[in-house]
Amino acid sequence: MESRVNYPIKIQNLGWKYGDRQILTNISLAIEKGYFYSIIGPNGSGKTTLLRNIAKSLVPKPQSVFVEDIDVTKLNSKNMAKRLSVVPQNTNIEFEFTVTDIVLMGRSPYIGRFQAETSSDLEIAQRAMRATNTWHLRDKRITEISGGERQRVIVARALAQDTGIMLLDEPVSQLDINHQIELMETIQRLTKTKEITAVSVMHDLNLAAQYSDYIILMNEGKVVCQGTPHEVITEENIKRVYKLDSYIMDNPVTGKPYIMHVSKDDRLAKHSVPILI
Amino acid sequence: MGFIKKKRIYKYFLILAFIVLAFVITISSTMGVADISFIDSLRIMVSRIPLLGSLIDSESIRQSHYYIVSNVRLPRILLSALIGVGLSIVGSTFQSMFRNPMADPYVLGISSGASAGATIAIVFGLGGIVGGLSIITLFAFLGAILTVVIVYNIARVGTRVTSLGLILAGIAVGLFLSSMVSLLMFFNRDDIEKIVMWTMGSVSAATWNRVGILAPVVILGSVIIMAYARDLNAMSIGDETAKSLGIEVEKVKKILLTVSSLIVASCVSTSGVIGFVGLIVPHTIRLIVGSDQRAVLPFSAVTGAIFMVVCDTLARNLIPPSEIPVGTITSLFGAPFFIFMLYKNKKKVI
Repeated sequence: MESRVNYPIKIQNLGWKYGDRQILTNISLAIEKGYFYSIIGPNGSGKTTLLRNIAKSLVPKPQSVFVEDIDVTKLNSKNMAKRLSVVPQNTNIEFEFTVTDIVLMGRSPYIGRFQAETSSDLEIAQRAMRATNTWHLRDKRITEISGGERQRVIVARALAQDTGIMLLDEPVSQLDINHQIELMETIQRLTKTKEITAVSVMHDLNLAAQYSDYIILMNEGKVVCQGTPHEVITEENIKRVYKLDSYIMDNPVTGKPYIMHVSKDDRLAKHSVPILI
Repeated sequence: MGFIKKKRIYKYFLILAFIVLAFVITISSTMGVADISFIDSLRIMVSRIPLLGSLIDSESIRQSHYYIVSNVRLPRILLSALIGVGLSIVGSTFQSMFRNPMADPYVLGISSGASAGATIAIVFGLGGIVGGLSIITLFAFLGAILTVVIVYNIARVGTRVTSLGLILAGIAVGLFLSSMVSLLMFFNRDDIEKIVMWTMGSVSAATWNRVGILAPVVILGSVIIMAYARDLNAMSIGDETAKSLGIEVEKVKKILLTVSSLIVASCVSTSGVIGFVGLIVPHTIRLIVGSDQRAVLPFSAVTGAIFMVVCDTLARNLIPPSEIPVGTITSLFGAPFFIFMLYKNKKKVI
């Protein structure tokens, strides 16, 4: 039965208002199973609002967001948490939990109020930590590890939740470049090996282009276009949405599109660009 | 090391803590103007326990000693222990729920509400007794509950409340009520001493009746809160995270707020404002066992009880025959200890 759900997330005519402000207009999407999707777009384009509507931390109108073919407004928190995990933007944790404790929290939806974690919960947590390269941190306190390590621990917690879908809200925006790449590779690997469907809001267009299978470009609350990185990351789209002149070439190693931003002055001297290629 | 690995060790330490509590209670019951030996005290107390009591021959103990221990000292000791449990459990709950280490049981203005209620009763000379409780206590309880309801409704947006909203509303309403108390004191100078003494906190009015009323509230309330320990852990990381882990955050918040408010209102209306316990006990415990509420809550409860019994014993024995308000003792001895703990911990980190 599970294998027949090829589109674990479906969105139909989703709209969202904060008070009088229309944030999302008429969004329809189908997210395919086992792929890594990035949502990009300028600030205020509605990326995070869209993600929060899918995660139901903002409750959408009935019949507009479906997770594994079930209307999210009909799913209670626990059943939602068994289907979909979230890696939030801000993962600053001030209380002193160990890494293992944090990862084990991912098992919450499966444990009753008066039950304790079983050995199988511990095993799942261990596998999640190994898959995210955080096993060596297991006894460390969450307050004493680096930002990059902490973000991987949060991904491990999401993984321990054992869901088919993982939503990420700018998971790498506060990390150093090496940690950014490490985390993106981890997520990419999870989608390939565990058939997890990942949907991530991204700020860095090049990282999004490099690692995701599909990109959703948003502007002013609407989906401008979606498709493979090559289909979406084009000079026209960047110009239209970001009002930026750019030059896009293929990354010589990976073949993925790579954006170079061009200021107006550079454009005047455009003749110099072909020499680069 | 995580909670799961340490679970067994925690269990032994908790049993040890209970033994220490029993020991402290017995020692405390021997102290006072009447000189009663440790063994006699122990025998009197055991004789009061149903079933076990029939095994003890209490005939040989002097009748006056029996009366002092079982009707004067014991209810007072148990009352302070219960208040220690209640304040520590709620302090720990609020710190996690509001993700704010500064939160204490009075953060929602409960203490000011209780003081305002008590002050009104004192100023208007309502001194009667209803259902075994003084009118002052009842007014304090009503004031506390009313304050929480007002604070909650100020902070509420639709069906949701934010932690920051609650804390700010609590501070604002609390300050307003405090100034009201000041104003009432200013216009009723004859009652100032009585009002000040009430707000300083004391358990000297302890009776078995009060113990009987407070015990179910505190014990049942603590059990309910402990059943939500795992939810509190997730909420201490963030409401949104807790929600994504399958916790009905708004519902849990409402339950915990209601239970906590009932506990604090009951404690503060029986004893006045006893500060610091609910702030430092959970913190001290957290420095030792980490942040997992499944460990913090039970250890805070027992430690809070021990701390309060010790403080009240000091309050009634330091300068006999008069008494120091126990609220003063808790801060006087609690603050330096807490500073020491912070200092020691800072060193460990560096």
